[in-house]
Amino acid sequence: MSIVVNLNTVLADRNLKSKELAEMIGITEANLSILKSGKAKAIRFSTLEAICKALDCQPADILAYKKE
Amino acid sequence: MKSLLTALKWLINFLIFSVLISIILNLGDLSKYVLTKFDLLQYSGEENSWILMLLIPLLTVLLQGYIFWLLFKLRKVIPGFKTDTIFTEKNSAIFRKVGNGLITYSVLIFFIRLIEKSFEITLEYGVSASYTLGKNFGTALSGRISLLVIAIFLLIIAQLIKEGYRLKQENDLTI
Repeated sequence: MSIVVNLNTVLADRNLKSKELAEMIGITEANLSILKSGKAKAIRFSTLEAICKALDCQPADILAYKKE
Repeated sequence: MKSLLTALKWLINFLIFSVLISIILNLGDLSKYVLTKFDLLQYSGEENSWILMLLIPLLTVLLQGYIFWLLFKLRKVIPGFKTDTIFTEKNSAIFRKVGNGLITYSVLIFFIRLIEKSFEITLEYGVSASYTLGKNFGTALSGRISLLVIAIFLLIIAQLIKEGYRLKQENDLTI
């Protein structure tokens, strides 16, 4: 997929662990792992909003388009 | 839903049983012919062509065996319906296999019945050979139409299950 999820970078910048983020946004660690690994087919606006709110960032910081 | 599934299960069981009985009957006819050929059994009936006595029953048994196997495959789908795991790739493959199998069966059995009927032609006064051929063609075809319709429905269901599986996957992978 040409959409890349940069969640690991943002998490490292914020010194946060996946488990903590999962708890903050109210999704399971397994689902967060799917999102981070790029296996997810889609992301809900509500999830994106929760992530942006928790990490205090913009959607563009998490998602990027990369030409294949 | 549960009672419908139980009814479907029993119907498939009944079909498996009836196909099994039919296979046994045809095998009985076949063994009778083979035993007569080797002079192990006295047969006083009318002597027919080997195509009618050996080839057609043999092909029929093989096709019935194929249907038997397909019904067993179809039977495996029912537990999935009970546990709400309908939309799987496996179920789609089973339905597709059974649908294609039924089409193959109905086409082959149509030709077998046509050949069988062509041996039974008795010329009647005032009835042309082309009329008899057309009549045999119609008789052989009429029984297969319903099977073809069922087969096409099964193929449609297979496609629906495949599409359902894709949507389910998409839903499961939406975070």
